[in-house]
Amino acid sequence: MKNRMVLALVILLVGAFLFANGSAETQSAPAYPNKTIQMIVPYGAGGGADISVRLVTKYLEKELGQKFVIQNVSGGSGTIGFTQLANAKADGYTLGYFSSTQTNDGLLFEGIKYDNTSFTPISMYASDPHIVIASKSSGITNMKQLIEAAKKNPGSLTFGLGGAWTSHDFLRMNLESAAGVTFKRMVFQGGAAAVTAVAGNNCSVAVPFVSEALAQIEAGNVVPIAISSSERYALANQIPTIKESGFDFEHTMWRAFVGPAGLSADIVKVLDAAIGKVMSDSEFLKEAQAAGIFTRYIGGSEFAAFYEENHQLYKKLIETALK
Amino acid sequence: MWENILLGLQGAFTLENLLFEFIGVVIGIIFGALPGFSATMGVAVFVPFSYVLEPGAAMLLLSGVYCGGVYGGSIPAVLIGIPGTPASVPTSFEGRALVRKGRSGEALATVTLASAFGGFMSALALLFFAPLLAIVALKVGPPEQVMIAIFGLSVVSMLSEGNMLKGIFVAFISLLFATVGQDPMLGFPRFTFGNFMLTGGFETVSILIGLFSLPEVFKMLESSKEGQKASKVSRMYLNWKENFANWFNYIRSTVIGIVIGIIPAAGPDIAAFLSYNEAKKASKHPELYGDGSTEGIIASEAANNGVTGGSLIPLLTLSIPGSAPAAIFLGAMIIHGLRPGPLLFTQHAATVYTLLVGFAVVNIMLFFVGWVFCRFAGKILVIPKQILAVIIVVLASVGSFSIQQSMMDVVTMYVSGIIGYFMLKYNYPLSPVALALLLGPMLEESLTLTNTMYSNFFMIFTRPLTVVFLLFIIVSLFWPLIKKQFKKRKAV
Amino acid sequence: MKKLTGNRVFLLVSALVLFAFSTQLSKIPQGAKEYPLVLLIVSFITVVLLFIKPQQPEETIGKENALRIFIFAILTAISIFLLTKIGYILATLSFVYAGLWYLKLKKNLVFYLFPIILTLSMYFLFTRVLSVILPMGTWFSLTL
Repeated sequence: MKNRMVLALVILLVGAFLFANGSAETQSAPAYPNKTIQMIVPYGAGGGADISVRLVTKYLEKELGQKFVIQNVSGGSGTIGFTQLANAKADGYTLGYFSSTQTNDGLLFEGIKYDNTSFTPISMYASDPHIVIASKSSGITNMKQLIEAAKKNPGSLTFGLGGAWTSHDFLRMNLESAAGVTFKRMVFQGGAAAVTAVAGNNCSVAVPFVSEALAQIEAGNVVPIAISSSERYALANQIPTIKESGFDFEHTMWRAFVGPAGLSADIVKVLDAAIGKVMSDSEFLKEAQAAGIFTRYIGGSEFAAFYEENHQLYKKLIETALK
Repeated sequence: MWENILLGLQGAFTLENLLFEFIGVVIGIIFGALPGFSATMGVAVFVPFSYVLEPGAAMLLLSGVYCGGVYGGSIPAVLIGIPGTPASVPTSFEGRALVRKGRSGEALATVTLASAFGGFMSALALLFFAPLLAIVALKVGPPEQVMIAIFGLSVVSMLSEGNMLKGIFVAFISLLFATVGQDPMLGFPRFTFGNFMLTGGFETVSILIGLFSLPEVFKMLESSKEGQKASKVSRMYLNWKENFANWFNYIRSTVIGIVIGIIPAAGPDIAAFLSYNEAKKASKHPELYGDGSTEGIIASEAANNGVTGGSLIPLLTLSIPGSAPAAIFLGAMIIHGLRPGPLLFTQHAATVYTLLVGFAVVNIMLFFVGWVFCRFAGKILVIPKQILAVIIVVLASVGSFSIQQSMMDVVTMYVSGIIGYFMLKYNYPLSPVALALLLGPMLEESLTLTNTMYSNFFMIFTRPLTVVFLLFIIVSLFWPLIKKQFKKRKAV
Repeated sequence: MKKLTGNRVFLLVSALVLFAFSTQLSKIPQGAKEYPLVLLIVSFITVVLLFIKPQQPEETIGKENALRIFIFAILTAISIFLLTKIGYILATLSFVYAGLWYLKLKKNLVFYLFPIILTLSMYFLFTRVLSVILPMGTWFSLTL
């Protein structure tokens, strides 16, 4: 008898939850966005991608008046997250983080279904430059010496990368074809490990992101050579750009927000406008600089065109490398 | 320096910061203690949480979670034989046996003291010698990493005493499984059978969750009659005499922990295994190991908590993360505008020294919070086995899902659990799997890099530190034999 | 005549897995192949050695126990399968009830309330506090 009463209570409770849930969803929907937005970040919490997304969404929440939930779907080297994003409903409530190279993952990994047509570009919000650094024992102090050293011993100057097919690796490919040299690849797990190897004189050159290299530059353990952006970096103003060193060369890794393919133009407009506003918020810019994020805003049709162009560019790079 | 420490004392002992240290430790212990949840995960999920706090408070909260998490993993390892994190695997060998002997309280008290000691000493090392010790991290290049990986893997021989061949088989096949996914050199997805979900390989933590928790669940079901009678909970009790007698073990284990912490790519798990191995070799009673040796518990606990402070040394000074949770710590610091590096100590002295002093405070707090927590946790022994079995399965599934939010990891966890059960049944040691999975990627990467650096592999012996590590391995491997010889001579 | 013990079956399965791995080797480019190849060979050798070695006696756990474990393992598998079909809440709730019922927990207040408390507390901990979105169902989904 007592048991049955408990059972009835349980059923009632569950029913109440179901009902409460059902009724909440039938309310009519005002303009986009009217509920929590999920943001898929295919990389781990606390990493560069995650940090930048969290900072931008913090301000986006104020702008759009809705909560953002960050999902770190980091499995399969990021491919699981991008697949999830590509397959998500294009209703504007599932968006994702995106960077330079992912539209070409299909060339690299078997079984990947997404490509450049699987996503709707929204806006770019950052573009991170690399810093070329050299070990003290290598004796290299500028770009010219670096290229000379590579030319003198073709294929034997060690070049540290943060991983295969990462922005580091693409920079190396670009640099090799621009200067007509070949380096000896040394692949580490992450840019910080590559910097450590250069600081320990185990590797001659590396191209980490600025945030990965600054500590060792300040400690005087590595020699900064040049920065790969078009302008010098405010917090390390003594480092010249690669362009200044006489090479017409620029390489950054951009970060952007995208949605699944088929996102309506209206939704893209709302999001793009909000992101644009955040990117000119002085408080945001201050926080971003402190967190080592290189903000750069490109939105609207300009970004859509850039996205396509970039896809073709990397496609060519990967195809040549795989040959 | 002393002014700064004074500044840190002021920062760490404000009421608010003490509160955050406390909350961090409690949350960390809970996260560590739930099978399927780990210290790394605890730190990861609390990073966004810490955004809204003051930088100092945020860092202290995360320190608490980190230290508490590494400690907490050992509580279920002792009580139900399921290590909450891989770093507690060696503890589970001894703790379980002590519980069976009705000494659960003593085991937990030892775990608590050893953890707090290891953590506290590592905090002191961090506070006083950080810039000095950070140099070690720079000296460790790929050839040294090869040596460390081999040294770690050599522990397999101790873990599989009695059936060496089986241990070797388990280790090698696990090393093979660790190669699934992108290779370290070319980024080619190996052994994925066309499934992109395997591009990143199997998630090590999911495998270990399944391997160490599901077989225990099945074993609970096996012993239906007598097993359902709950074990007795004994009172928390610290055997001071025994702990004092182990003073050298304490120091050696803590040093191993700190050094492994400083070295990038090797975390608390490796430290615990290595230290446990060394303690057994040095022990006067190696026969007690596996049958409830408090020495073993001290060794593994002082070492895995020693890693916590150790791993922050290269992180704060040179921005090199020394373990997985430390890497997440780095992210949290950056978002608060605290960019690690030599300038950190001068530009943000107040915050940094609050963190450094707070880290020591956290470890003192760990002792008392842990003590109270263990008194309650001991009660899980009286929970009916049916409920325990179901809870563990749910925790393991949700835990492995939440690592990367991937169902693939849940399936991996389940399959590893089934395999683990058969391994236990046919007498295959489980712990070499943990060692091989944790060290495999490091071994392959460092071997490949060493090959790139030296066309002649034997050139690596021109590096002094490599030679030192090599000698270490040789002495450690042959120490039992040498000891035997000594004894024989004495007897003659 | 060598007996096909449980251990030997286990080793045969391992050998099959190793074989499956070896079929993938030809695709792997030079430079990424050598290390796993060595591991594969050593693993194969140890499997063979373990197979031909005299076998240790195996402990038996009795038919009844084996069946109980088997059914519990199947229950777990079903609940994992259902996670993506009917979502975390319903899959976990039904697994916990089924598990406790099958393991013959006394049907008191604990039996009825515990599953709900466990499921919902985990749910709220993850979705609300840790902002981890637990699996949602494709057939049917319940979110709170």
